[in-house]
Amino acid sequence: MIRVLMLGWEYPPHISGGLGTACEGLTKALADEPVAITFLLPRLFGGEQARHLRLVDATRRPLGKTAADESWDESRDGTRLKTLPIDSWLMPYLRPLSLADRERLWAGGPRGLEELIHLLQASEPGSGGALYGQNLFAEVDRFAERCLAHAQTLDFDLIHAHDWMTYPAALAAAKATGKPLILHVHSLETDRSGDAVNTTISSIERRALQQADTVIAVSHFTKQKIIEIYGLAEKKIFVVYNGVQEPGSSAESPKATTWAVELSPPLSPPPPRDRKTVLFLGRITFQKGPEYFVEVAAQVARFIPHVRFVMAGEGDSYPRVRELVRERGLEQVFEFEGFVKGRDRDLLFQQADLYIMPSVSEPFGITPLEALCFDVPVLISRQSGVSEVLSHVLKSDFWDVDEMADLVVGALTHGELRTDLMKMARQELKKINWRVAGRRTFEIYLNTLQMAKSVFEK
Amino acid sequence: MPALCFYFQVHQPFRLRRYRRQSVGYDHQYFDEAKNRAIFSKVAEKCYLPANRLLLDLIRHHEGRFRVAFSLSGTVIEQMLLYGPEVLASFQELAATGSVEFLGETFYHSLSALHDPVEFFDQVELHRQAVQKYFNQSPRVFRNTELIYNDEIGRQVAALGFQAVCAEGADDILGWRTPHFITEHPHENLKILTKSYRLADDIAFRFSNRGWPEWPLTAEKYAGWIHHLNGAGELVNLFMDYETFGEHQWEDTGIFQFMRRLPTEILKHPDNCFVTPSEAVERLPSHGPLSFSRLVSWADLERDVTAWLGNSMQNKAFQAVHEMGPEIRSRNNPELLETWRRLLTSDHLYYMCTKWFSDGDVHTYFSPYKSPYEAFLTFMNVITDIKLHIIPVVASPPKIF
Repeated sequence: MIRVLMLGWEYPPHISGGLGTACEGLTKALADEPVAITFLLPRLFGGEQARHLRLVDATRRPLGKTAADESWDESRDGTRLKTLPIDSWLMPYLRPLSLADRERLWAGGPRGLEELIHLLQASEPGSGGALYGQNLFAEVDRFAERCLAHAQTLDFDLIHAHDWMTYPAALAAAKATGKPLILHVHSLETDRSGDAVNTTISSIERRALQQADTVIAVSHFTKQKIIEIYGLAEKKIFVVYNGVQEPGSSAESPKATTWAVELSPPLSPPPPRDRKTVLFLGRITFQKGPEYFVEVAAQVARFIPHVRFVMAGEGDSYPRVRELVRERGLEQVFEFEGFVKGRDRDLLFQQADLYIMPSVSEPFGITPLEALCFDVPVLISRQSGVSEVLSHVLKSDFWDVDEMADLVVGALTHGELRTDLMKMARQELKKINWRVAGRRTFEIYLNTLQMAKSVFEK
Repeated sequence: MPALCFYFQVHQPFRLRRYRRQSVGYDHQYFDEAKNRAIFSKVAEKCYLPANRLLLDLIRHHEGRFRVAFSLSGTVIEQMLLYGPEVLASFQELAATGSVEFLGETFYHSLSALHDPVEFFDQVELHRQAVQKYFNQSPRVFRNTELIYNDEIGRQVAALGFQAVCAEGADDILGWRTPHFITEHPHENLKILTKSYRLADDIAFRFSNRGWPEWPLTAEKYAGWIHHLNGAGELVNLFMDYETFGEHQWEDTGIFQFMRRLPTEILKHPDNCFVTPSEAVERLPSHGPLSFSRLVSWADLERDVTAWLGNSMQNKAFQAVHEMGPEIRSRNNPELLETWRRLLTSDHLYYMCTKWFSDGDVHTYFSPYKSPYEAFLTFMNVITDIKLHIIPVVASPPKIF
């Protein structure tokens, strides 16, 4: 049995991006291996369903208690956690919020979370690049301090931390305990911000990755970037692809999400059957290539006038994209849905004839897999990790608008192409699951422990 | 005393360039001239020229006791004329030895036998004329594209005057029989030469496979296997792609040395000999009728036609290109007819095959496209351009009023 101290930043259902979903999938798969995980998070909101691991709110647990202490704030005890006042709430990818806004929102307790996400994402754009809460660094720092305190009271064999927000905490814990350190890269600062990188974050990434015993990257695309940008040795980086929940295999499949009970009307009436729909779903920001989507739409509309182009998401590029839609004269065929989740999100997938992810830089990209789970064929950029595991999809370089437009027109014109794509993709999807990721991660644990042991013996 | 019958397939398609929807109506250059030339030159250098040299040496050295057959598609003959006349000359040199037979096939390496008897007859006739013109032979034995064959195709082949046809020795067709005897069509006057796929694939596919228990395969060992057939077979049909030599099996695998040594090893035993397909038909008796009740090909484990017509895209593309046939053939427009016929080449459908496609796999080595989906869209865009912008222009009568 390998005892793992895992550090994360978010956990479903309270997530801002793919990181929380990935942590859930990976830890669930690891529960089938001889692994025991203690998962430290900055905070728990209640409602986290994690029977397979011990989920700990690092900032809440009183210091000085022992590991065996019964007063762990575990997720099962969700109701009690809900009533706790939360003094700060920060998202790694979102903009700062005024104090007044925060007070107003939190007056109603954690129920206002979704509203907060909305408000954060709808606020006006900043100066470009990824946007971070203003107190985020303080929060990262505080998390590190608390993790260090926890680490010294816990018994474990290795540390496994997800993305830069947890790296300082992981480094501190590794230094204090001498345990091997595994850092998991779900995305890099350059993916999120392009050329406008935040130097504090990139230096955290650089320092931490250089000191890690082992680095896990979500794709070869990301592995290559780590080598190029941070100069890491190739041999200490391992690739573990994300999985996708097998459709219909559990209550968590996209067709029956946990939000299915919420009664809210669909965002828009279902489209007429003779109009084909192309869907973009993701943050409207540089990294996701929303402007390329508009340029593709402009070309496609010349050949098939009645196609609907639906863009779901919010982000700093929204005003620019909206302006581009106007310039290209696409107002009649373009629809902005804003940030969607739960049943509305499912509905968008169900109504789509083609899903498009023209990302400029996508470390992995889990949404194409979700689209495939809804039997929607996908077009993805080659600049994505997920393109390494999918063959039966349409692929293009993100900058090749002509190529993407041809693929979209072809896919919408020829039902035969969509039929064959989906027939083959469904088979391919069966092989992309978290079980494989869990097994591989376990092997990496063994390997890391082995290396640490041999170094110690020398 | 088995006779060995080698037949090598030589073919190159006219590949399309990545033709997008945006080009429809504006650009009518469909074929990738540069790529076709480059691939032809590479294959000529690695396979055609050195292999022809080797066969010529062997034929001369064994003074006619070593004999082989070729089938050259019309499109590869056209490419020789366009890109490498010296390659055509080296085949003509082989033809002049009198030890090399040329088989008949469809000029455009097409699947027209499956759908369009008129086009099939025309293409076989065109091919016959080409073989006559360049090699001074009139083919008497037929091989259909990718060895695709059933009783119905046999009927058409017999009607075209061929004495025999080459077919895959598929297990389910042969049943209790071995492929090592000549059989015949159940109703037509047509002999059938069945490919000995195990022995042929030992050379064509397994030769360089280090995981194969028989690796490394030597000429001595192989000749031993042939000799062991004694009594259990009269004729061993070794049909394979010519690219086996130098392309599928690279030179450093020792494939050329194997072939250089093989005739000597085989002919060490006085009962063994080499024959060409029509010599086999002349010398050996038929051992009874053999019915091909399904479409058989030499491809994949299934030995069926699903590599070309196995998914929705392939069937759609096949249907779309054949639909235009009567219209195009009815015109007196040789250029359009030639373009359309180049689209009938089976390779275009093969590139759309999804059943083994995996990005980065070895199979993609044989496709000019990044995926079968690109192959389909490219093909359909070309069809659309011809349909919307070429046929109507040609067809519109002069405006009199």
